[in-house]
Amino acid sequence: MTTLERLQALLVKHNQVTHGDLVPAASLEALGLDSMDTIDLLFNIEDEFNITVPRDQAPLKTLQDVVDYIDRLVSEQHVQPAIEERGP
Amino acid sequence: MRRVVITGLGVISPLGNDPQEFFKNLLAGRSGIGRLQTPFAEKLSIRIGAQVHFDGALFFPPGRLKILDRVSQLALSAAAQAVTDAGLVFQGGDDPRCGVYLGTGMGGAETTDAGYAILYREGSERLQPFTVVMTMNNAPAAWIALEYGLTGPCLTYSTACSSSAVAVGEAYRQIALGRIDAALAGGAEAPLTYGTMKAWEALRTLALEDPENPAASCKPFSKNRTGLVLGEGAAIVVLEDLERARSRGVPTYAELVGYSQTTDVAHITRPSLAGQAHALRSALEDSKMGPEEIDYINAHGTATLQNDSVETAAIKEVFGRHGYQIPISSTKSMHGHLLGAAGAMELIVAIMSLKHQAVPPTINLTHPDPECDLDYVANSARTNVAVATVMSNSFAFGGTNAVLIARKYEG
Repeated sequence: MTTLERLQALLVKHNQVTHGDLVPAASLEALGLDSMDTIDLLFNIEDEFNITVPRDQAPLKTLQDVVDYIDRLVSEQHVQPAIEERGP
Repeated sequence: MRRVVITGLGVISPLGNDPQEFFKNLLAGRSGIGRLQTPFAEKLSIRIGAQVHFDGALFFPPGRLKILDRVSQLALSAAAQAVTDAGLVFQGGDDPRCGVYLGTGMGGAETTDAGYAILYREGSERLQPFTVVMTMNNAPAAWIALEYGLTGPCLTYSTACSSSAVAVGEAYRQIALGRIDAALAGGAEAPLTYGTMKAWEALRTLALEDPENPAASCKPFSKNRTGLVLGEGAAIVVLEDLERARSRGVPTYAELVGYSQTTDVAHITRPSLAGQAHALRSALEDSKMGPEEIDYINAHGTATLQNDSVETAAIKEVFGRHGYQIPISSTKSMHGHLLGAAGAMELIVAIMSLKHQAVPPTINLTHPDPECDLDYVANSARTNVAVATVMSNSFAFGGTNAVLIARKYEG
């Protein structure tokens, strides 16, 4: 599954958003997410992607913003172990 | 001072989720107490409580439900009943002359408990994002104000077992003084969590389970009483300025005519005869009625050894010989001790007694106690009794006492 698909699934499951509305350009506000819903979404994103969203998170307006942000955090936080740490 | 009437009732209780069913069960002497149906019960040494049959999922959409602790769910549901019962239509979002006055002792206890379990038992370093919003004590009141757009005062009283009696009394005063015209007032409590049960267990005031019948474990005024049984629920009344209610042309259940709020300063938990007598006397003074005019008392009657004998002595001191003539019942024997919701729940019992001219019993009163020698309406309800004026007592830990007096509204 792509990041977008996983994000869509989270929003449908936890935020009662209709799947058809979840296009990348859709703004969180237009999807009916208020500040509390967004905090809830970030919590669920942490679980789903096994990342930590820092307190000073990037401004997130659209679904695509969230996807890009998740991908960035995943690439920063899911660092491949260095070669010397790998087993034989 | 303006006159204040009660025009709506809402009840979520261990004996039914509306005032009629609740009162019918009380008159029948049914008990809402039993073995707790919960996974942690086996780790309790005292496993009884008074649970409400209530599924929040039937009342709230998922998005709302997940940010409401059980205490707020119960409060909102009771408030909805009271608003419907009173035929209130709020003007959609801004009613500055209406307020919310609520009592709760433990607030969002389930969320607090679950949070500690996540941190300390499961070792997680994260809590649910809405933990603060769900645990704050003023959440139930705030949700009600939001729901109905009431922009007047929205206040939460946390005075242990008298919380909701204080809430109703303070709302009554504000309406009487003309500062607001109407209020949703009452209380909510959802204390049947592992942590709360353990804390009460440690205090050694919970009733021991009756070996033959767990439902009969709470025995107020009986010689063999062993303590209180914790219960959950919510009770909300609509209070209105009499003229406002008249202009709406709605029926009234009762007129609230007296309220006292006094403090023991004797001991943090032990009840005080002087303190309770002071509270009873002050409420009578506030109502400008004499002791002989009280037709029914819904006692605090926790079924702790200390409370019931002290409350009996306080009633005798204030009411004199008439004290022996008044039917007095502790309905906690049936619905349990609802802590912060107890005062409002028991006021509703007293108001239903006015409406139906019937007095619910104190059940499980099988062993007379020489120190408790008043008329406690032992074991069977009385119907067709003349009840014009009622009193409801709430005596709390911390020594914070509240007494309410209501009477039949006579045009």
